[in-house]
Amino acid sequence: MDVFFLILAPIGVLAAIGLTWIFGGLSDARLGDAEEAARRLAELEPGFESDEVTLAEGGAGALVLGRRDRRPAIAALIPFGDRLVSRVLSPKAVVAVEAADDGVLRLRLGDYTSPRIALRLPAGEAQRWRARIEEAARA
Amino acid sequence: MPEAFPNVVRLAIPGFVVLIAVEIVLWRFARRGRYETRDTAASLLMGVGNLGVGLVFAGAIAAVHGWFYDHRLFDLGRAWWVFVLCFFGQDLAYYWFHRLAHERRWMWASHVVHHSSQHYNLSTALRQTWTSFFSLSFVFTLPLAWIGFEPAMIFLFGGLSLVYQFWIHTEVIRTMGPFEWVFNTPSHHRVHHAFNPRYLDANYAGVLIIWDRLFGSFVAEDMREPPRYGLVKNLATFNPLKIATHEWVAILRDVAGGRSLAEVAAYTWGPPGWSADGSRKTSAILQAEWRARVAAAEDEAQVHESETRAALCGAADRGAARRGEEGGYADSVSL
Repeated sequence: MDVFFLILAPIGVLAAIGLTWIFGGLSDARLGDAEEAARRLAELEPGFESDEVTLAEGGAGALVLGRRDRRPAIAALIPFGDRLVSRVLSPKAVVAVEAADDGVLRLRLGDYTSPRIALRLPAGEAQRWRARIEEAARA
Repeated sequence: MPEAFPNVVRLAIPGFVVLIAVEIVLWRFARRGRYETRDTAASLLMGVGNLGVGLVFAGAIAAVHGWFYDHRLFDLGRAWWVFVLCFFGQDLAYYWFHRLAHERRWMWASHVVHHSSQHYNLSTALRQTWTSFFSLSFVFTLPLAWIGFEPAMIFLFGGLSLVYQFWIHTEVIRTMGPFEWVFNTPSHHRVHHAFNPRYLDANYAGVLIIWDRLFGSFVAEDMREPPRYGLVKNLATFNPLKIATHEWVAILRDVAGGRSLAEVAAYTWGPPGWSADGSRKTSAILQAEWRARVAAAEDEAQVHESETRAALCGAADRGAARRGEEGGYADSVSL
């Protein structure tokens, strides 16, 4: 370790991060409509066929009912920075699901990098999707 | 005592920072490429961590190479042709290290870090593993030391290869003409970072793309299908510690649930994506499914085209017959 690593390298790193921030690099992905959600999910989960999509408030994610490998499946699309991440909510993947009165569906997954998902859904939808996910877990 | 070679990676770091700044400015003002602040921060922190961890293990790696060099077959020295041979040898060793780092899960657990960003820019080049020592990446250059190449020379070309591979992590440069035939380029490496099924497990080259062409792993970028960057199952964290360890944790979980030695072996040294219950998919399965979907879509398009052609021909025949009956002239319809 010398002066270069201790001082100059961190300065360079901070400068690069700061530059992206100043230029508007801190943005969150948003979905425009159900069609876009289905298309993006097909890119992230090749072969997933979407039948029904519920967008989260402001397009901040979506829940999708469809088929994967010809079997019924539910998937979540979650904003991750300016990109999206998908998770297929198989019975093995979901540890707990909760629908709060404020319309937020909270999922706890056995996933090391995305253990918690919270989606604010339109009125009544959180309960409906919770029931679906629980039913899929029982099947 | 032969003269030591410079640490080229260290010398190049100021250049890395300047080029990243230039690319950020291009993104902002010329709309070329894309940066996201948290993604950039995660990538750069992984790079800094990699430097630190590298210092810890550098001595051990040098010692192992030194042992093999002490038992070398030939005294090659530092003639110009030895440098040329060492360059090709190191690049070939890198190709096989890189290929196996994608095909064997134990090695993938370390290398996956470099592929964990959904962005493709110069900061992605610095998103490097902290655990390469444990995945045994250094063993691939040991045969070179045993043959008789100085370890310092091997490390020199290893460093030059890393420096070379920095600038190809960009969307700013599209294609580079005849340079693409021999060298690894931004276009070739974009394919390597893509998770579109058609692009999986391709273009492992360090400097020379000839190895991929030779060993059948070359795939050209198709402008009709832009690469989507990242992993088959993308991470949902910017936490460097989780990025560095997520696949090791997954291996541990799988091994803990393994029901036989064969399963444990497959979970550690099988292809990434293998699972005993078939709930996950390897690259080979994903590509087979993709090929089946493409074939089905082509069949459907062909059937649709035949039906359309038949309908049009039928309509044309009826029209011709009608015109004939009416005494008019009849054009032939060619489809």
